[in-house]
Amino acid sequence: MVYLVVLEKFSRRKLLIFLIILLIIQIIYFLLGGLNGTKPTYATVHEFTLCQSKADRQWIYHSPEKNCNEEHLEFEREKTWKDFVYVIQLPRITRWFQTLTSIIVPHIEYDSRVNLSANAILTYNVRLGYKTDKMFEDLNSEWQLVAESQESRSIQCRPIFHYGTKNKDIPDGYTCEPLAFLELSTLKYPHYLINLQIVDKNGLSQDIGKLKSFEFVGICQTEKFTKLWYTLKTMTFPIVLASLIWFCRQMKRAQKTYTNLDKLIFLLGLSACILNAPIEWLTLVMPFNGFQIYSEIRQGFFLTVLLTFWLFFAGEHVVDKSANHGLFSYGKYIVLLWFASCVLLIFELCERGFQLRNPFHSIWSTRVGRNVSLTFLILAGLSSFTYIICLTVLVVRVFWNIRSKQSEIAAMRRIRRLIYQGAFYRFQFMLLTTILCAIITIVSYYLSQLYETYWVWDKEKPTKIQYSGAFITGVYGMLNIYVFAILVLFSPVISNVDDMDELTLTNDDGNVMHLTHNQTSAYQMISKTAIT
Amino acid sequence: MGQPKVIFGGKNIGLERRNDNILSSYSFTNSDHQYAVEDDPSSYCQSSLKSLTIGQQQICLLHADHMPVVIQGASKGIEECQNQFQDRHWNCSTVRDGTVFGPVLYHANRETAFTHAMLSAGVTYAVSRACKQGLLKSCTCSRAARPKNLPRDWAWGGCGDNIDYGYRFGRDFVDTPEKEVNPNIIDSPVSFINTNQTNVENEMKRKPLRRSRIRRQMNIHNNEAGRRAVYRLTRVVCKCHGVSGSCSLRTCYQQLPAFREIGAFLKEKYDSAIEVRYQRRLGQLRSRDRRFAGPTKDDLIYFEDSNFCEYNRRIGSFGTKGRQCNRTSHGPDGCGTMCCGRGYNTIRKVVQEKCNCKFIWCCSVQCQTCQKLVEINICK
Repeated sequence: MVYLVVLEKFSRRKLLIFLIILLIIQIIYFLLGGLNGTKPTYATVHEFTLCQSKADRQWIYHSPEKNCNEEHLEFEREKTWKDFVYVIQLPRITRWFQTLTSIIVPHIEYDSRVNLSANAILTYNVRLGYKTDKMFEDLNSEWQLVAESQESRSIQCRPIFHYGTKNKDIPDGYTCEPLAFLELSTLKYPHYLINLQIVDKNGLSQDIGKLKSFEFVGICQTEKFTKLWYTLKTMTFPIVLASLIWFCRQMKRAQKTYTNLDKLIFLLGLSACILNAPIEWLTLVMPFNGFQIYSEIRQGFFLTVLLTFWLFFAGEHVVDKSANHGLFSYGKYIVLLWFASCVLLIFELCERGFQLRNPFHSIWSTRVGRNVSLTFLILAGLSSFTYIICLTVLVVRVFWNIRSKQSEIAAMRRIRRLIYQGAFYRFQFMLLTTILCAIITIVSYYLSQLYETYWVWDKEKPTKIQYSGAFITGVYGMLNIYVFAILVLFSPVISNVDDMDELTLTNDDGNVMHLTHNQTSAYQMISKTAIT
Repeated sequence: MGQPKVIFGGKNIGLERRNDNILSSYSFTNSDHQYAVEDDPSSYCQSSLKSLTIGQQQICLLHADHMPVVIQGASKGIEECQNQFQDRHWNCSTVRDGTVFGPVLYHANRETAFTHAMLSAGVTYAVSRACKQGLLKSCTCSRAARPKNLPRDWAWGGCGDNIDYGYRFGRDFVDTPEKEVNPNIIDSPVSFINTNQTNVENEMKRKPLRRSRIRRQMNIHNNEAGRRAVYRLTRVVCKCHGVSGSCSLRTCYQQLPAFREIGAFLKEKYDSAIEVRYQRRLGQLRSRDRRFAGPTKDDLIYFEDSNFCEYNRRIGSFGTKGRQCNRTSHGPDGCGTMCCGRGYNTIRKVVQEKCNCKFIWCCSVQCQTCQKLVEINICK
């Protein structure tokens, strides 16, 4: 029995039509995100209100009743930080917002009499409270505690100077780096309240300058985009799942044993299905804390499998290598790749894991945490860099290999020539599409970044396309189309040519050729030429 | 000078000359937000804020909660104006007759341009900030109880556009008086179409009429320049929040500058302000110097020269007599420049001052008192 791959069975015309359809679907994906009308994520900026702290009250809040006596900070009031509370009450949140990432930006004024040290550490005590809609309407209900923590952050500020004045020594003020603040991985409740108090006892929070207030920047996914995203996932999932099942059925029907590449294609399809499975809907009904971790792990898993697949694909196409290709012949590359993924996984678990217990925690805020996470990231960065080099080397080797054979092709026997040409065709096809995908990703990424940063002054004519949304849905669509195409094009088909021995014997030098499982392609070509 | 006890006014941001007791209850300190807007907006807008023009009163009725913020913004503008001009001939001095700046606002010189820009910027800035603090009902970030009929999902959308909101509100509110047609002016064209005999009188009327039209145009331009200054200096800051902090997801937000920066920026614009003339053919104000195109929307424009050396009530100049100057400086605060060549008196006196202070933030200060001999130079 001889196996063919759909890619080779397709005539040029059929292939072209198939690709054009995929391209149209891809464009639809881009347009869906781009014409959705809203940005995928939204930052809302609020300013903390400064209130008097009251010993008899656990929470200071604005509404429903006025409980906050607004204050302002001045000298000569003989007060300490203990007398003040910074309060922020978030506008109503729905579960469609998915997660809340937030930062705070300290506002520090310049005052020659107050020292701002370059490595000032701000320590604050912060509490997060919640209310449900029902509690919110009931004026007697008290806020319930979600989390409480004492956090330290280092303040980094740059002085800002006038436009061309003589007083170069006196800055107008400072611009400060934002501080990591609160990460809510699930939005269980609609109303949140934050009470923040600066702690200055025992020599904490010294030399923090004339700190006046904080700005709170909360980042959420927009409701409209979440709806689009869920719908997209729900629609993509069955299609990719169907193609995976089809792939398995083809394997079964062709009674082909799984080679390495087949296994990886199957794994790729499986990880894409896991990625697509719209479990998100569940979070609307019953939000659970670990969802964000799960969601990020499946993304990481998918990407790792995809990278492994490329490695294998290139490796299997080194035409003349004599080594037998067991799973472990790529050992060092695979180990490197999975090592990098594991490192990132550990980092992820540390970062998000702590936040499950304390949403105010930031791994970057302590020196140890900072060093450890930097080490993790550098390790992951180094191994992915090595991976890229390895992959490039491998690809170049395949190319070189085929190139060198190309000059001999004319002198080869017909069958062998066809084998080389078949391998070359598959490889080129794959390489070309992969590179195309990579280019599309990079270009759309930069477009979206550029668009975000660029200040659009002309408010009368708002742009119709949201590039950042288009980027997210477009890339998501592209990865799925890629996986779908691989599952379809590389699934085996039974061929009518079944004399394998004849072919292997016809080699010039008598060596048995290893052309991956995709040897089949050559047979197909042979059969074609034979028929014509 | 000194702490501006703001009686918010000045015809051009909506308060008319006839009122002397405008907002007398609204003297306030800067960061105190404890305004008590009366429950009944109509009486509040019409009696407490009499000096608003008709258009502004309508805005006030719709957004009564904005008014304290607007006043705060205007006073912030004045404060910053005084800070920027403390060592100039014109020191942004305010008057207590209800018009804040006195006759300066009825002219069309650089100072008028700067004041308009500053007030407009102040209002835009304050409204944006109040929006961010959730003080305004109509701003989407409001922390006030949501109206029952509001769609449920309209909780956060658009909340990042505080500065847009401030810009739009500032434009509507501050520019309104310039666009409203004064009833006195409506009357006059009718009168001179009907009667041919009073030609001389018409000529006399037409000239100030055109002048006031040009001035309106100039004020609108300078107001816009002030608001644009807020926009220009607003920073766009981005935050990456993808998987493991990667930049696959990034969200940007706007950060308001310090108001001091806006003041410094507008002062630069004051120094490079463009003298304009009215081009009847285009109906536009063009740069007087034909070599330059423009003015652009960011430039301040004026068409009258000004001199603030001598006391002149008509143009609102207090003169520099009695101002302090710096004997050693060669800049605008130096005695030569400040006193316009009239010379100065030097006074030496012993004052009691706080010294050796220990400032603790937040918020206490411990000082000693000591005596010190100071030398003051005052212009003749």
